[in-house]
Amino acid sequence: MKPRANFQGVSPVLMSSSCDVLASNSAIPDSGQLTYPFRKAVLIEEIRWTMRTANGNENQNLGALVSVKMQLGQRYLTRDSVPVWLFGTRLSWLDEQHTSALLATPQSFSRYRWRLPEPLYVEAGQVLSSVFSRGADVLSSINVQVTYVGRTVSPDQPRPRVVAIPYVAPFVSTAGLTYEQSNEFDLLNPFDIPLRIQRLTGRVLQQTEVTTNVYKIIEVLSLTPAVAGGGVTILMNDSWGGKMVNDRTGPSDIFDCLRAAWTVDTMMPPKGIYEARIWNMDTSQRVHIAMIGTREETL
Amino acid sequence: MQNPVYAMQSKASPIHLSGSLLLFPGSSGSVPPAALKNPMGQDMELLEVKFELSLVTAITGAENIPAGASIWCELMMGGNKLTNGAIPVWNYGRAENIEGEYKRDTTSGREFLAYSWRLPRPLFIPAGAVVIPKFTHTGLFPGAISVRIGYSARTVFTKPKVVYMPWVAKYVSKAFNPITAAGTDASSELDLVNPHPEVLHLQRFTGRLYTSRGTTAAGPSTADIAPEIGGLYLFARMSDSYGRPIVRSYTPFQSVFEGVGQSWEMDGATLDPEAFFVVNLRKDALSTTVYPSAQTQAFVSMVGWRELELA
Repeated sequence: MKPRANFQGVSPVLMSSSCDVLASNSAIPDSGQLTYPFRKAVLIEEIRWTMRTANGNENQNLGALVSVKMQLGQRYLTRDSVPVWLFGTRLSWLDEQHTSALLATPQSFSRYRWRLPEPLYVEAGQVLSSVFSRGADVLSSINVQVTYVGRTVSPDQPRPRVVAIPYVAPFVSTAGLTYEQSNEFDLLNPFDIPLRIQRLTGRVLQQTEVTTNVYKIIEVLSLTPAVAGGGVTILMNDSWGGKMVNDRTGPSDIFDCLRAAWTVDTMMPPKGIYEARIWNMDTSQRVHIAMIGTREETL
Repeated sequence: MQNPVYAMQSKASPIHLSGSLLLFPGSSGSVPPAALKNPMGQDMELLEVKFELSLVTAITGAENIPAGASIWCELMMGGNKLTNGAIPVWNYGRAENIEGEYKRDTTSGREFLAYSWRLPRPLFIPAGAVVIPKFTHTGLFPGAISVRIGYSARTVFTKPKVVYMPWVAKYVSKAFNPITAAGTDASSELDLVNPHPEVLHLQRFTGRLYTSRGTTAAGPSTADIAPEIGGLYLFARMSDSYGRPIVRSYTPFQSVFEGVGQSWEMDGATLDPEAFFVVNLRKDALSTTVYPSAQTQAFVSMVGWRELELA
């Protein structure tokens, strides 16, 4: 066998930054750390989040509490803030609500990964900004480490005329309600072009008071109840009332309980919506649903 | 003359080959090459390499023992090396199911571990050739370990023009011992290197942490599911041969090598001929721990392939 001439000169790239997010607050990580320093275009293929609480909170699923809004220049990747655990599929129960065994005072760690539907082209000097926020939850400060992973664009590759921009839209039910319906601004394609939907993700958050003023925030499996009214059920329609979920079904059956996702590959027309109706939520529970896709935009 | 039975065979018939051996701490060995050779005497393409390890006796008090850190494997086909020396078997592939890597037989207390490496591109193996593994038990854990290697392949009847030759290189840090102390370490130019005259196409980096609680002489381990170390106390930065940072500032180890898959997947990135990556590690002091005699060690690998033309 003899060597084969080939040269591409494409370098792997990883950029990472962190910030502390307080309840009812927002925080922005250092954008300088999230910019490729050599003024070259890069392709971001994956985004990772690692979160941890301050001391004393164990086994919390922190991705339910921290939301992120992402923007590339004037192009939005998210409709408003999206809970971090909704972007990708679940990779591991253990890693989403892990408590340290080595530290004298336990801390809770949660890790999530979003493999983008298509690599995101980021022009030289441009930054994909992330703004993290939290509602009025019961935990103390949460540290978020965000990491963009990708590669440089090949030197012989011309600047593309059309780029694929991911888009994520969420629906988060209101705490305390037992029935709720998403509206036409939640799971919406707001663009004048079709949106290629890659997947829907869905999870059920449960907040339990373990002892007085000490809360545990976890994800619970919520399969279709054997008896009507015995647990959370969901119906889903598209813009024209066409049924997506025919019978009232448990969230963990709709969004595969192993991956917390429903993978589809379909086109949503401009201004199209999905509508979700949710019954029988416990007052300690909230249902989170998101749709993840991409649209094409001209540079 | 070809056996007519073979003529009826599918043009890409699956085939699985395997062999095993028993390794004691500090010893090396290989499985018989005949066990890993296509018995049909035909060309084949290797798709996946599987490693199964089992501890011959239970280690008292130990749990989640990552024996993949202790068994290292060097692969070679003819005059072509597939690895830069011996590679810890848990550094070939990503962790596809980290909870599934460790299985304990509750009756005997023995640990069973499984690791899988799906090759970046199928490797063409000419008839009569063998990818020969050579194993070493580094003695990270006491006691013998039974090792089984399996090749999942398919028989092929056409010779390709281009052979995708895998290449795996590793960097194993010093042990940060005790875990309470601060320290630094860096890989050398000979670790994560592409020594070949052709460009290396990168498939992934893998990065795993071996964290031992060290509470007994046997060294029970929490394996690499201890994100407090990789998330809080061990940081990595990386640069290429020209000093250009690919991880510009010290970043938590498990943010660089994603904590669930224990890897950094990439497709399309390359490494120049005779170029290398350098990993710098910084371990911060851990002031409060319930295991003051614990230690931690980083295992990083680079997995890719190069293209060779069949002469």
